[in-house]
Amino acid sequence: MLRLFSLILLLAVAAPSWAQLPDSLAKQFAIGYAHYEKGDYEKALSAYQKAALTGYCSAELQNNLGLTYEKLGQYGPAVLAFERALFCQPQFAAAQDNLKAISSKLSRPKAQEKAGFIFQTWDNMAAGLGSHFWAYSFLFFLFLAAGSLAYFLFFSKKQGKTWLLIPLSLLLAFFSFMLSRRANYLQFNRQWAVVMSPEAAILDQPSIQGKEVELVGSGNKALILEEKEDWYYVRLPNAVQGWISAKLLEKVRS
Amino acid sequence: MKSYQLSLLLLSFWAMSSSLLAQKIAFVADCNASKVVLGNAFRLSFRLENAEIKKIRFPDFEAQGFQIVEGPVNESRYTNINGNRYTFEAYTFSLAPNNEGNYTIGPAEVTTYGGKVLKTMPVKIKCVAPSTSNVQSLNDHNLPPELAGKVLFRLECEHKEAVVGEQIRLNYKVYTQIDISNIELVKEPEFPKMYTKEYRFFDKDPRVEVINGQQYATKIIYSMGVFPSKNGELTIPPAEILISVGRQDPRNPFASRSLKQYPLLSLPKTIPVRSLSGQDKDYTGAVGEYEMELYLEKDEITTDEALELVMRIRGLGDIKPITAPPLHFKEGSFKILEVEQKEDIREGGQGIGGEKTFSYKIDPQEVGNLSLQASFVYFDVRDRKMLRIDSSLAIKVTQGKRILNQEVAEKAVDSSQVLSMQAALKSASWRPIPQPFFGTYRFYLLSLLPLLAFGGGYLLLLGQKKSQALKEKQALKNAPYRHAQEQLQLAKTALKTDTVGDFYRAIEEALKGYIGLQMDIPLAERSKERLQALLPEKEAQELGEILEHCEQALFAGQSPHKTMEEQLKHSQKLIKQLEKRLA
Repeated sequence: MLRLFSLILLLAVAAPSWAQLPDSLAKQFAIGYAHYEKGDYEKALSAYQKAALTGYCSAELQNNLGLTYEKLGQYGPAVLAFERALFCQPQFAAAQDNLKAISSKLSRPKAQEKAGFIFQTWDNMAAGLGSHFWAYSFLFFLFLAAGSLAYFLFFSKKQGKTWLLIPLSLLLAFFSFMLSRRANYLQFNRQWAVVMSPEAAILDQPSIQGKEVELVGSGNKALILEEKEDWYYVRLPNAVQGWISAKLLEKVRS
Repeated sequence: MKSYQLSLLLLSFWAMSSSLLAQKIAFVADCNASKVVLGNAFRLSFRLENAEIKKIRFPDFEAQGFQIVEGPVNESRYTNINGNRYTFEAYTFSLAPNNEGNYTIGPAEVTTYGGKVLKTMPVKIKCVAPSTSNVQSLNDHNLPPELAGKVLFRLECEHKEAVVGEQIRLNYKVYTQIDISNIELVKEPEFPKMYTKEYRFFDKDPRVEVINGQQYATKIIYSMGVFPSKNGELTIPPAEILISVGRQDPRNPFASRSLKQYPLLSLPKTIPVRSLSGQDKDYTGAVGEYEMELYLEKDEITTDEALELVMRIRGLGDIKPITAPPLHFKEGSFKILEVEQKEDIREGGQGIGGEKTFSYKIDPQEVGNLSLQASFVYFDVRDRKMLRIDSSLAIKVTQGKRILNQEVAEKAVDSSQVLSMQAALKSASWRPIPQPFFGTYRFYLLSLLPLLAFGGGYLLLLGQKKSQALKEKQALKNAPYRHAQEQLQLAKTALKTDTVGDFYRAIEEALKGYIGLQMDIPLAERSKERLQALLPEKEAQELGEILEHCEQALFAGQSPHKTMEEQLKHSQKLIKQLEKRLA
């Protein structure tokens, strides 16, 4: 009975999709790879673009797309592809390395805003292991705390220090909950965009008559704080905020 | 372009305005002919500008072989426009040479009230013998025979060839030996799809010219410029004028002269035109006489600023088709953002010209000491060849707020910070696009599950405890009956073994024990009477009978076997009755 219950629970939580993906995706990916290796980047790009499927993502595909754009000198789309690879798979090492490598070639505003060590570590922990990991950790510790309490109350003779497991589990569950909440915000609630235009002006108002407050090049990331018609109110990594034409950006989560 | 040439150009260029308003003192000799026919006069003027004559000395004309026909005629003028004063005073002579030959008329000398002594340049003039042959003209067939060769209408054009965009000046001139009352231009030459310009400023004074020994008074009546737009042949069509000439009635010498009009056409002309395209990659369509100036607002800027470079092209020629001349710089050091242009077209004595200004907005792409070269290539109409004007500028770019792409890349190279890209991946897997789990209904459902499980377990345990208590209570409740049954079992055993004493003691204990336990009566108080008093009448009677029988058997020794069996059944029956009633 318990096993059956566990299985049902697992199925409900995991909710995987058993839909069969078309073989053509893998074929197009292989064609793209072959063109890339031959140095025919335009054809590689075309093949990789055909390997994309709505509702699905592939960190490897986005990574290779980014490499192809980089070879074609299109740094904006390259950064966007690497970012999308990391959204698909936050711990994808190849995309992380490529993003670092391409960032060193880009013109970026000097970062003036730096979070404190504790906040930075907290964010790194949250984003590093991802929202799902921390959410399941929270559930695990919650179950552990409940089980320990039950054992302590109903089965043990209330002797020894087994009760210490209860506050410890509850504490860990609380931290996991907070980290999961933060990771969820970092991963899903924030809308990042990448500058696609060679030069994009950040203005002080959503109009072309606005005064320029910053000039950024292609490949720069901007956090979208507000959307207004064809304008985004964004925050740059150097804490500069302003309006930018939506035509100059591409959202990471489209 | 040399400076004095430029000065002359500019002087002529603003002929009507700037030269008139100039306050420079000048003393010039102006002759309306360079060649005259013997027996005819010419006019010579000496003009002092912007000064007052204190003393003037003319050349000795008679000693030099001239007869003074008229003069000196004095003329003076004074103008003051917006504070710019202009004066001139002139003395004019009409002179006729006494003989054929070349003459040089010596200088006149003037002393101004300012104390300046000025001399004119010598004037050269040639005197030729008169000719009896008439001047042949191809276009005077409309004139009567007596006027043939006496009035000419000619196109004056210095160009034997031209280039695309060149200013070709066409002067239409009338030559006459008779009095003409009026000249009317009835048909101008037309140049379809070509830029043309009618000039307002040209020499309108009559002059004297000699053709084939015949002296004519001449005057330019119409002047225009044409700018060929393509290579090939430029055909200048004829212009047409109407001249009005007074005629005397030969039969009545006293009658007034009547005016008669005659049409005259100029002869057409063809000029070959060649293209200049492809001769120099920096050529941007300028043809004429030009100079170039560069102005840089600042030669030291930061990466946040744009460079404002102004190039001014000034001179004679059509400035309209000139496009922005190229700027040369090291690749990647600058980026031209936009070029604005302004033009100011003017007309002067030498045709049209003007000033074209190109304002370049240039974005620096590098930090450091940079250089920029502006090149202007034009076709010089005097030298008949392409000329190039190059001008270099040094610009210092310092770091501002904006980080330049180039700089970032270089810095990265310098510090070996450029990381290499990873190799492409050979295989790929697809997964559903990640969706948030935290905060979903599944997450909260699973979060509540331990609490629900805990609650459920607690309730389960509580139920179990309750059930146990119930069982114990039930067990407690069944104890008298069980005790009675046990005693009855002992009695049954005693009956089989025929142990009378044990049998009746067991019967007695079964009844007394059952009632005592059922009614919670202490052992010491379980007497027959006490127990009977607690029971209903019928059961009390039966109990009394059985207990009495037991006492008799135990203490009197009366114990028939059949009676023992009956006693057992009777006791069992009574206990069941009591159980029904008391439980």
